Amino acid sequence: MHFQLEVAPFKLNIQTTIPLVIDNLTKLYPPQLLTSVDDNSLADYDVSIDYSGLVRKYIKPQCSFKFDQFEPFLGLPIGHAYANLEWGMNYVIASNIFNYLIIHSGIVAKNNKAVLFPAPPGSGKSTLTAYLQGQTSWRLLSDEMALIDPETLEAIPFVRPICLKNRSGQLVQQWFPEVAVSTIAGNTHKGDVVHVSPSKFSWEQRKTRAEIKSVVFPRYDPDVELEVYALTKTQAFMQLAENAFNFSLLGVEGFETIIQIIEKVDCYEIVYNNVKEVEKFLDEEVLFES
Amino acid sequence: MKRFFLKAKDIISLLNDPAQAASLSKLNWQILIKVLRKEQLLARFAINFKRQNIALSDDEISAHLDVHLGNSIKIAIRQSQSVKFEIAELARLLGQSSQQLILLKGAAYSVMNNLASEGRTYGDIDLLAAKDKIDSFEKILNTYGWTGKEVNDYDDKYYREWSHEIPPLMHSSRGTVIDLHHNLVPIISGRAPNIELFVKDAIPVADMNVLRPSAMTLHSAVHLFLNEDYDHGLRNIHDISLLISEHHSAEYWADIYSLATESNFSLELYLALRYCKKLFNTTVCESTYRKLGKKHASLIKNAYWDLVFHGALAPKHPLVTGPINKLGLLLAYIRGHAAKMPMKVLIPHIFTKAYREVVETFAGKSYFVKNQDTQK
Repeated sequence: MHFQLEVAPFKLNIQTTIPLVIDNLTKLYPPQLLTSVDDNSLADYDVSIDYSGLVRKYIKPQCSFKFDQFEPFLGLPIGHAYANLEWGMNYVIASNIFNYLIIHSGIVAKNNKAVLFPAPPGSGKSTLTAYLQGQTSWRLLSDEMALIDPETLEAIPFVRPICLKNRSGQLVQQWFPEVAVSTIAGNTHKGDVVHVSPSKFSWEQRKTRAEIKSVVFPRYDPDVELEVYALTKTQAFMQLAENAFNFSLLGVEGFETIIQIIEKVDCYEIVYNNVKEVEKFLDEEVLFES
Repeated sequence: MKRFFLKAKDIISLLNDPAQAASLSKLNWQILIKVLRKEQLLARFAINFKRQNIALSDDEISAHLDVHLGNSIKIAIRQSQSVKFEIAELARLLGQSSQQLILLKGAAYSVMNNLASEGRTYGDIDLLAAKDKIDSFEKILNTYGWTGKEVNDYDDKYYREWSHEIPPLMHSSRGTVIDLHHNLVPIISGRAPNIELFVKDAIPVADMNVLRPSAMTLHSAVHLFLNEDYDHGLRNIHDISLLISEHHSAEYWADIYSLATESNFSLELYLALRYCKKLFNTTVCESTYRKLGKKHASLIKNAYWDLVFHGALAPKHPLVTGPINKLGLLLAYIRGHAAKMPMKVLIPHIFTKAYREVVETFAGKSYFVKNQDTQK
């Protein structure tokens, strides 16, 4: 099957014959985003995910991801094929797009005011992002990559299914029983992984940019309901730079973009175990305007 | 460009005259970008296309090019900065002794800021040192963080005994790779030249040196035509064309001719000139070309070489390649190996490599990788 997937602001042509991949894509993406390949529609990148090797379709099946002719990763078990495609798409964007600053970060918005959650894996950013994007008038921009326009400093949505690890997958399904969930990719390098489809509102607003209001570095701690620390500009700069995928390639441009963001927004570090309290804090302290 | 699908020769013609791209369809722009990205020529094309200042009538194409051509230029600029940084860093760490080193190929183009450096992207930094200094340079580089990339025993033996370079050295934190050479071609080929002929009149730059223009051009020609690896064949012959165009002068031609004759690389020079002319219409010294042709060429040989090198130097993306080009590429692979190694080494070598390829085809690429958990 060869089709075009619109993942605004990009379009990718995807080739696959693996039923698991096709089923999950159809389940998680709105149908109008999956179309047949049209030569008159400019695709940004071509990717494929397929069985690796002739024998490997039948014996210990493996899949491999390709970016055009190039195979950036080793083969993975066939059960990881869909997750592998999503990660492959992340890789292609993170390693080829330099017209936006890309920060490894969850990002959500309410009334077009965006909050960034840059954090390393394991900090609970995806869970927090998944919770917030499901609340009334909140929406997802991305659970993994915040794209920032260096000229306007606006955040550009890159709405895709949210990747959840281990227990947080079950948690999100308890919060949102109606949510569309992928098959489980068991025992990956990130643990057991599922992808869940973002809210309808997030998909609808997938081309609406948002103004960055705040940068919040989250850290999950089962013993702390919510603690908030204000960060100095220097601390925030260092953390943001460390989480930027293409910071070094953008050079001066990346440096100046981060400086300008830090100068205009408030930066916090939060330790939490209660996502509702985080929402309340964001509503009352961060996005509140008198 | 009226043709519906771009073919290999259209890609080359667009490289020669980027202005022709103005009328490309959306489909053909996608083909062109994919093919040039694979050939590592996208940034060079992008720079030349932007210079034309062509106003495109289709806004969607225009925006698409801003993203993809623009990003390729950003990568090339950054790589050039990074190569210059690495060279400066090496020179700083090595102190006086850096002046014994000669930068080769891409890194040399880069410090010269010559035409071939525009939009050039790099795999590694190639350095040439005197053979008796190689061990001490390797040790010094080891202490400064450049360590040998893991190669299997067969490859290590290949490098140490038969090659003209040591296994690549990779910087442990920045990941940059240095290839340290003591000659320009593998010793086992029996073609290794008296290196003095090449390093004579080297030009000091950036606390190191680069080969003089004629030697630099001839080295690029030897590297391309005495080789089995044509992955970046088009980019490499395009580099040579730019070197020739930039240095074209009576002294240059006299020097390159005598160097090629003395070092026994006049066939490689002939082939370089032939395909620069054929592919890019490069202006070369016709009397030099005729002299070389008299020495090496015949109708039959030329026809054979055209088959081989039109395949090996053509773009290799499956969108634009065909069976004749693939045959040429295969012949170039065999020819390159045969030229580099005597048969008693070549035959086992090809079997070792072929065995690996067959296993990878059936069992997947990861079969020979030792630790599969390192996948990110």
